[in-house]
Amino acid sequence: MEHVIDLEHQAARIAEGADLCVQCGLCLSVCPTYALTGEEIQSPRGRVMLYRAAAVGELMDDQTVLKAAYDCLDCQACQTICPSGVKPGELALETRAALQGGQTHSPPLRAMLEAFKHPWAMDLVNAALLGYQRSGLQGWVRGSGLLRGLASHYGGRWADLQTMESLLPQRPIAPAMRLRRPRWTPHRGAYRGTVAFFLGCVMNAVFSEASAASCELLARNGYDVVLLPETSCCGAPHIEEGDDRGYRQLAAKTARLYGDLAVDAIVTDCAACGAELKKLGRYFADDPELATPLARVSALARGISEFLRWAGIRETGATGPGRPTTYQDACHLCHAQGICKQPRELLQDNPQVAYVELEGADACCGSAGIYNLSHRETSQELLKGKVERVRRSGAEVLAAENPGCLLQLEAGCREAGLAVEVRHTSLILLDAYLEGEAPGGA
Amino acid sequence: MEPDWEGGLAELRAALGRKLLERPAERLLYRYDALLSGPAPRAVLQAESAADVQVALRSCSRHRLPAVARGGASGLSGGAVPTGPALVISTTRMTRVSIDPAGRLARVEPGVINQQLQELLRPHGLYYPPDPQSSRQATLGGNLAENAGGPQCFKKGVTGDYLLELEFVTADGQLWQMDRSGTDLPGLIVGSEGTLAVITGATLRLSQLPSQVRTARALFGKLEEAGRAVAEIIRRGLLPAKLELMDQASIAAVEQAFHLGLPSAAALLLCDCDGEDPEEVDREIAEVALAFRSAGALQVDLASNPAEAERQWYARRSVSPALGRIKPRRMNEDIVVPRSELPQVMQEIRALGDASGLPLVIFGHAGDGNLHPNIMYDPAEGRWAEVQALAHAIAKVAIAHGGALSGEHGIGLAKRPFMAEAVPQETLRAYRAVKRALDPLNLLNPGKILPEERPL
Repeated sequence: MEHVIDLEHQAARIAEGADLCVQCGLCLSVCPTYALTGEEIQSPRGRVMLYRAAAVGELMDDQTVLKAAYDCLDCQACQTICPSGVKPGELALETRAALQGGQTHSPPLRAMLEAFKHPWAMDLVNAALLGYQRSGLQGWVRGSGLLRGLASHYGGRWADLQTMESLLPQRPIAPAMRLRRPRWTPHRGAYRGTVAFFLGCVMNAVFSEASAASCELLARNGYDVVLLPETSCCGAPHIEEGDDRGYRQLAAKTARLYGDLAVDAIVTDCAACGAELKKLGRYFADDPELATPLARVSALARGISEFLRWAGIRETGATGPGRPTTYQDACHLCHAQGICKQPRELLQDNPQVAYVELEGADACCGSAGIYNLSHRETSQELLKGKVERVRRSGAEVLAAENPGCLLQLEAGCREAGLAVEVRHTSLILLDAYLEGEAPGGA
Repeated sequence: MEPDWEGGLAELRAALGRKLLERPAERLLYRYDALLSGPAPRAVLQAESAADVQVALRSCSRHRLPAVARGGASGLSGGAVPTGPALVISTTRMTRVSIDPAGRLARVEPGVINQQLQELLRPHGLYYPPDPQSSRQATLGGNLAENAGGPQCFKKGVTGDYLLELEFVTADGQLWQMDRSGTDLPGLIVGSEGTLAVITGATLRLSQLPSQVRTARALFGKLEEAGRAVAEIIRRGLLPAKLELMDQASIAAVEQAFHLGLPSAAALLLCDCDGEDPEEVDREIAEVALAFRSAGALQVDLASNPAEAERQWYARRSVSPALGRIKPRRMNEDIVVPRSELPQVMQEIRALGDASGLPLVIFGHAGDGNLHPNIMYDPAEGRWAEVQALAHAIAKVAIAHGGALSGEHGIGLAKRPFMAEAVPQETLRAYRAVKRALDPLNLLNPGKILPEERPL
C-alpha cells in the first residue's frame, strides 16, 4: 500500500499531538463508538496510537488509518475528559487531510464541498426543499412509504436516500433569510454594542426562522446586528472531510469579511460555525497572510447562548407556566467550546421553561456532520439511545443549538413516535419576549 | 517445542473467523497498557464468549502459542502487555451482566466495566465496593486478574473479598466453574495476572450503599505529618471508609490539568467515614479530624454537602491521569508498608526523590499503607538507568520496613525485576510449582511476575 502522508508538517503535528497521550484509557469511558464495539481501533486512544504509527512511518496501511479517522464522530467528548490535553478529534481531522493529500477523493463529497463554498447554493437548497414540501411531494413520499420500502428492500443508495429524506423536518421550512434579512438590524432599548451575526449555511437553508430569532434576540438585548449576506461557509464541512485547501479558501474569505469589521463580537447560533471560528486563529497561526485577521475573528467569535449569558439577557416579561423542556449539548458547543452552562442557565431562567436535565446530554446524538449518512447504522444506534433518554426525561420540548443535531433529533423523535418539539434555544427565548410584548400579555 | 504460528493461526482463523484480528493496524493497538508498551501481538482475539476463549487456548496449547488476556488495558504494571510473539485475548466484548438485588449478587462477564456495574447497581441501593481509580475504563476481568483495590478497600476489602464464584479457562482449554468452598482455587486465580488462567466470568458479592457518608480533608505542611495522621487514626482504632493521600506534586498536577481550585500544601489527606447511624458517623469523622490536628494538620475541612465531597474525590481520582502533565512517561510503584512505618517511609522516599533530581510524585491509599510513588520521566531525556535505580531504591525502602512491592496493581512486567529481592527463594519456588501445575507449557502471559530462573 502506498504511503501518502505528503503534508510533511501535518505528519509532525500528528505525531506531536499523539505523543501527549499516556494511554491511561480514560477516554474509553466517554467514546460512543468504543461503547458500541469494545474495539480498541474504535476508541480515541487506539485511533491516536494509529495516527501516530502512520505519521512516524511505523505503519504502512493508510486505508485502515483513514477508515479509523472517519469512524471517529469528532464529537470530542474525549478531549473534554483527557487530562493530558490530547485532542483525538482534531487529530482525526488532521489525519483525514494528511492521508488524502488535502482533498477528498469522493466525487459526491467534492461536489457537496464545492456547493458549500457558494452562499447562493444554500439558497437553492432551501428553494428546493420548499418546493419539495409545498408541492406535497414530501407528504406523498412519507405517506406512501415508497422510499422506506425501497430502502428496506434494496438497501445501499436507496437506504442513503431514505436516511437523507427522513432527516428533513416535517414542519414547514422557512424561506432562506440570507437575502431577505436587512444587513442592519437596529438595537432596541438602550444601546449596548454592535455585533456581527455569522449566518451558518445549514441554518440558512433549513433553520432560517431560528437564525432570524437569534438576530431579533440580539436586537432586543440592545445590540445593533450586522448581517453580511456575502458570508461563506465557515469551512467546517471541508476540514471534516480532509479538504485542507477548501478550508483555507473559506478561511481567507472569512478573514477578508470579518478580519477588521468594527464589531464587539461575531455571534453565531450554529455550534459548528462557532467552534470553527474559534479554531481558525490557532489553525492558521503560522500563516503570514491569515494569522492576524483570523486571530481577531477567533477572539471575537461567540455562541449565541454564550454571548447572551455574558451580556446578561434582558427580562422577557413572559410568565409561566413553564413547559417541561430539556437540552441536548451539541458536541461542538460543549466539547469543542466548553459551552455547557450558558444554554442551561438561559433556559432555567426562562419563565416559559420548566427545565429538566437530559441524562447523558453531552453524549453525541450521532449526527456528527454527515456521519449519519456515512455511518448510518452507528448513527442510528446512538440516536436510538438518545431518543429513549429524551423519552425518559419527560420533556415536551428539546432544545439544541446546532442544525445537525436539530435535524437528527427531530428525525429520531418522529421515527420513535415521540411527541417532542425539537427547537433551537433562540426560538424558545424569542417566544418569551413575544409573549411579554403581546397586548394583554404579562 | 517451538511455537508453530503458521499452523496455529490457520487453525484460529478457521475456528474464530472475523473475531480474529490480524492486520498490523489492529495488532499494533494491543501492545500497550496504561504504563508500558511491548511488541505487537501476532493476532488478537475479540472473544465474545467463554467458548471462544476455550477454542483459542486449545489451539494455543496444541501449537505452543503464548496467550495474553487483556481487558481495558488501563493497568499500571504492564500486566496485559505482550513480552514476545503472542495471541492477545481481548475480553472487552464479553459484557453480559445480570443482577440479583435480593440475593445481593451480580453475575458478570469479564468485559463489564467496573463503573457500568456501579451504575446498574445504584437504582437498587447497592454497590460493588472495590473501586480502582480507573473504574471508568477498567474491566472487572482485569480487576479480578490484578486483585484490584481502591479507596473503599481500606474498610471493605479488595476485589478478592467480593468474589463468590469464578469461571475461568486453563491453558489446556478446559472451562472451570468453582465457588470458594473447599480448596479455594478461585482465590489462587484472583491476582495471578492472567498467568494461571483466563477469567471468563464471576459471581460477585454486593453491598448496600451506606446511607450516611461524611468527608474530611486535611492539609499538612510536611509529608511525614500526613503519615503520622494515618498512624494516629489506626492507633485510635478508627475505621474510615476511605483514607487517601496526595502529595504536593500530585496536587499541582491535578490543579494544572483540571483547575479544581485545590490549595497548595505539602500533603493532603482525604477521608470518608460511612455507616447507617448519622450520629455515629458524625462522631467518627470528628475523631478523624482530631487525629488530623494532633498530627499537625494546617487546616481541616469537613465537606458540607455531597457535591463538595464529590469535588474533593474527583481531585483524588484525577491524580493518575493528570501525571502526564509533568512528564510523558512514568515508573509507577505500588508499595505496601505497615501503617506505623508510614511517616518514616514517606520521609525516606521523599529524600531519595529529592536527591535523584527526578520528579517524584507520591500519592495512594494511605489508610492501607499502600503508596504509589511515581517517577516521572521523558524517554527522550535518556535517564532510564537513573529511573530504574530510584525505583529500585524505593522498593528497597518498602522491603526494609517490612513491606511488599505490590498492593493492587500487580507485579506484571514493571516490578518483576525486584521480585527476587522482595520474595524469599522458597516462596518463588512454590509460585513456580503452582504455575507449572496449571500451565505446564508456560503459555499464559509468559514473562510476568516470576523472575527468570536462569540469566538469558
